[in-house]
Amino acid sequence: MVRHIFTILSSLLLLGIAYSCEEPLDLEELPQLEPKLVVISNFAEGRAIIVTVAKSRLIGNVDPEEYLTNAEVDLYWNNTFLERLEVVIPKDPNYPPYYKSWENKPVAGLEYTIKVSVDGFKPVMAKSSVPPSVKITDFDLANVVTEPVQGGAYNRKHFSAIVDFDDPSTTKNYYHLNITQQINNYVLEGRDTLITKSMLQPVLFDPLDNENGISAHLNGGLLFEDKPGKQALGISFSVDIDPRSQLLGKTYVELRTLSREYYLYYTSLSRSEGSNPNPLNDPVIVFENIENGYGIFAGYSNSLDSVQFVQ
Amino acid sequence: MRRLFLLALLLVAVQLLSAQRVLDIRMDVQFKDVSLIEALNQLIEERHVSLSFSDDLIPDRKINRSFKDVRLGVILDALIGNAPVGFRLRGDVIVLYKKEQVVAPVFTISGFLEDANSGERLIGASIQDLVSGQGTATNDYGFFSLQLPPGKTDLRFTYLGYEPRLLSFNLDKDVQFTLSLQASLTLQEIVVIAQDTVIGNTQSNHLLDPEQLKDIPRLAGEADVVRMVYLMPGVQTGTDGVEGMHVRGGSAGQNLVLIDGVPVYYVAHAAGVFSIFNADAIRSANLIKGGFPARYGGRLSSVLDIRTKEGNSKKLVGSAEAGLISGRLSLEGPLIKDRSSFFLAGRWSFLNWYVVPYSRKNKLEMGEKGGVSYQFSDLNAKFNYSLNDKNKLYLSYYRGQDGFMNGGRSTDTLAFFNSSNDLIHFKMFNGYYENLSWNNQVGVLRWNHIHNDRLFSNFSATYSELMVHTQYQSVDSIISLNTGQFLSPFIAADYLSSIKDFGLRADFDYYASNRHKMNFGWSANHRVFNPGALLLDNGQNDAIIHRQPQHVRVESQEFVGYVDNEVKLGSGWQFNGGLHLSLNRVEGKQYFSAQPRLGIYGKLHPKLGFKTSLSRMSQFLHLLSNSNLGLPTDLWVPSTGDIRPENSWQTTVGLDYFPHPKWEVNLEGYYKTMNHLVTFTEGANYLADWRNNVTTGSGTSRGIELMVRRKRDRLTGWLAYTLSFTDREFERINFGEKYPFKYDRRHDLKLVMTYRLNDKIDFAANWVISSGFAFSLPESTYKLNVPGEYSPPEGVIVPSFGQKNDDRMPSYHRLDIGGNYTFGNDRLQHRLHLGVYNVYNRRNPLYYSYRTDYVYAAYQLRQRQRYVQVKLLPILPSISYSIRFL
Repeated sequence: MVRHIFTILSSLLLLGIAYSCEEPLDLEELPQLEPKLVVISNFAEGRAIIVTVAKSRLIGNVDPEEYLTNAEVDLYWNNTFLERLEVVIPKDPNYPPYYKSWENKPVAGLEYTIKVSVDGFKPVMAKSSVPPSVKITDFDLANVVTEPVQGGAYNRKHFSAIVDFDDPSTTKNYYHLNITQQINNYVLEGRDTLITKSMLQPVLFDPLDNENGISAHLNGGLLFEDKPGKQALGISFSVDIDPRSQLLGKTYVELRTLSREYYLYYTSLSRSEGSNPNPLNDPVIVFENIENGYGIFAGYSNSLDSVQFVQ
Repeated sequence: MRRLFLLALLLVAVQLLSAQRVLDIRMDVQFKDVSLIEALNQLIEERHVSLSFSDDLIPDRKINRSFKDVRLGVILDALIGNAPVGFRLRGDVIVLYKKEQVVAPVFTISGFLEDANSGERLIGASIQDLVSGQGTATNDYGFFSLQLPPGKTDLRFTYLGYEPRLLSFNLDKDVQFTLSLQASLTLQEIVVIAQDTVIGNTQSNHLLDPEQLKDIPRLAGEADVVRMVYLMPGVQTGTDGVEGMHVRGGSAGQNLVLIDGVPVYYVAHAAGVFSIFNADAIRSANLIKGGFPARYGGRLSSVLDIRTKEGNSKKLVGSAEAGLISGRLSLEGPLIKDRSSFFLAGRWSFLNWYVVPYSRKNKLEMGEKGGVSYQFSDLNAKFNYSLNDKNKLYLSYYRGQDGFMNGGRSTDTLAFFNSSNDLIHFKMFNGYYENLSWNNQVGVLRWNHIHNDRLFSNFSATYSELMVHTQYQSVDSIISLNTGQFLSPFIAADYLSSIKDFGLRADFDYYASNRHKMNFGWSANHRVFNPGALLLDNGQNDAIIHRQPQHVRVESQEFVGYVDNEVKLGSGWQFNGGLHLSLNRVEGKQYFSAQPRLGIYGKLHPKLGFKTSLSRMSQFLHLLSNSNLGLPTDLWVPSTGDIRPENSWQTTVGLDYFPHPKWEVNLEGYYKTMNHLVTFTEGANYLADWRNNVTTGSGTSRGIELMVRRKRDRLTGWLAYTLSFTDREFERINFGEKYPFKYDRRHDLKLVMTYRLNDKIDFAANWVISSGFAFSLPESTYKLNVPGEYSPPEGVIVPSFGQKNDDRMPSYHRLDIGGNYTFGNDRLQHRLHLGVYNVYNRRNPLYYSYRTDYVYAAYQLRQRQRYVQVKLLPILPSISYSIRFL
């Protein structure tokens, strides 16, 4: 809502001064595009490549997402065919079918190509590589402040954390820093605290704090380019817990070193989602690297660390 | 020997006598519209006169005379006139030779030219000596200076819409005077179209006739100079003018708009539908798109130099006008006759008469108490005082205010039985308040001083300010009357933005000779930027998130020095060479910019002129737009230690063709490169510190503009066509790849016609059509679902746009018509204007958008997106009535 202040005022100003009119647009006035293949894959060093293949939908189409299971998904390295990925249909219908590589796991520094073809669609292809992993050298929670909210119904824990890593200075590097907070539900049995359930909650950052080179990832964490300066990164975030039934567990940090494709896709998508469709502004164009289709095929590598908050 | 000497003497005497007889021969001859060379050849061929001359020696002069029984010597004297050519006999042959140049004394004629009725100084009026062919034009303050040899002088003074005036006298000393011209009363002399400056101008400019504003069709009865600018070639705007002015591929913030020489930072009312310029207050308006004179600087793409009226120094006059949108009053007159005068003009909008009751009623129907209001006002005031013949003081002030408010509140109750069959009561309260106000203030104190008859100066102290205030408050509360628990999410925002500009300036016009004129001067400006101070509270109940981003106040200083030379090279060729030097100091960093301004104008043929120019421009402040509407909430920000000034190079090549006195054709091509452009990063957060949310880049623009004009007679008007290509490339937009600029409109055509039936009735129409602007339309969507990765339960729908700005809006076109009926007597003049805007009700879309709603499909609640197009102004009739007291 906050980000729409100008939109609201702008729109109302126009409405206030002149007669304006909004009309549904006849779709026939718009260019009618044939559906294209949508290929989604984030692949990481040392893990099988997993790819989903779906059919794009035209604006206004409310049909359910149509995943394709009859695709030929071929993996290449330097024009050398590696393998054809096999389709996997999960038992849980809430998860989409996907294609998986069984013989090859990406190696850092190599560029992979994926080619997907399905009858009735234009074949598509995409390239990406896995950058070398950058290790986390330090992760610590420097300060935690507790703020009761909603009359003490919740405690808001304000964390100040530092994360350090060896950012190679000779190349442009892209990162996705994920922070996940473990929250443990507990009950008191006599003098003992019994953990009944443990959950991992991704830490979401506010897009209002976006700056050039730093964006809140729509699913949690921060996307950024290179480490600003030589000092460790200082990060602030908040987690709400119910003090009567929840305890803080470990705080996990994952540093993903990203291919340029991964960074541009999630940065533009997060900014697009964060800004919402505002007709008075230019929309954020979401980066894609699927030739003749839509979606993203992008590699990354990661390193992990964690720290336990002492209650 | 003696005999021999006498014989020689006799031969010489006979020769001389014979020769003398040649020059004494009487003859009849007629020269009808021939050049001097042709006249001499006519003597050779028709009268068998032996003449010897070199073509290079003979001046280019038209001869239209007849001689009857006149001696040949007298005829030759008359033909040669005061050209530096003599003739003598060599045998029977008359030889023309170049006379030794004698440095003759030169006297200077200087002074002012003014309107006979009002005493208003006339800008750009032409002064020409018919004897020598020398000429000049008045400057921005009506001053002129012309140097001529002693002797007979026939000065012809001409100005658009005024009776020409001839002044003949014998020049034997320096002369200084103020001359009045009478406004033309004859139909043929009334020039009712916009017209460019005189031949010899290397600028790409359009002088706009303020009188014509009242003739061409008006939107809602409002005569508007900026809407007239939109009808010029190379100038674009958004749908119905709401997105600002874009000149030759430039952005809205690249136009230097001056009122009496002072920059104005926001020139629109009602989001650009109307401009802040009161037509009653405008004395002259000049739009420059290329070939910029060195005295202008600070913006890349255009200069719109508007001069306001000084006030009638002869008598008290006034006018009043009422249209559908606003009313205007103006009053002017002498304070001390012929020495001091004033001008006052005000404009007030009537919009609240319609908007407030309508919005109240509308909101009541929706269960709300509240309303919408919008109003604007302008005030122009000017005062001048002549200290003596050489010194004059001016004080002028402009203030414009806009205020928009939208507010409402509603309460409701909800009661139902819960599962325990208890009656549950809720009370709900919803309230919102939105306010957007802005005001412009411009003030200038000027001192005109004539140092001598060749040097004129103007010293100014200036002030300009734009302040914008935005407030937004919203609360949605629900209270359980049973338990007292409540939920009350709210948001409150307060946004302030301002720019203040203090300046000192000195301008000099030096008339070194009739062939060489110099303008030079300096200026110093101190600017204070407060680009958005924000208080933002949002949250629920007592969980308040309070934000007060650190918006840094920035101050900068700009120092400018310039010199401009206008050199007439002869044979109709002219060279303009200037240099604009500027130094900007900000945050301990200094940016220096040297901006050459070069131009050449030449006559290829008496009816065909050629011009070319090269200009470099720099801009030390940037307009960051947070919407595409050109609203006052757009931020003016300075170059900083990290953000460099914007620069451009523009080159133009053009032809002026005058096939007939009533017709004029201009063809001009341009190529412009722009770098260090600044704009918001794609998806930027406008509420955060702008410094961390902008990106820099470059752009190019190239095009061809054609203007065909009929300048005189009952039917006047012009046709303007532009073919253009414009792109942009920013580091953090479109992933660093080049893309078409929004105003990359390939074709743009404007047709304006005015027909004067008689002295009382005139009609006008204009039709515009242009390619649709570039924008991005999502072509498909898909759901993002990455196996093994966290994803929100509802999923993320990704819109896929393809390339940025790859789509085009439908072509924009619109026809407006209007007519005026003028009647009255010498004391009172009435004018009734009737018009229709958008005659055939073309619904030009302002923007496309897609709306999201939910539908039940395939046994599930599904998100559906559909396109809508938002259109602005339909067919709008207008009427206005004005009365003028003389």
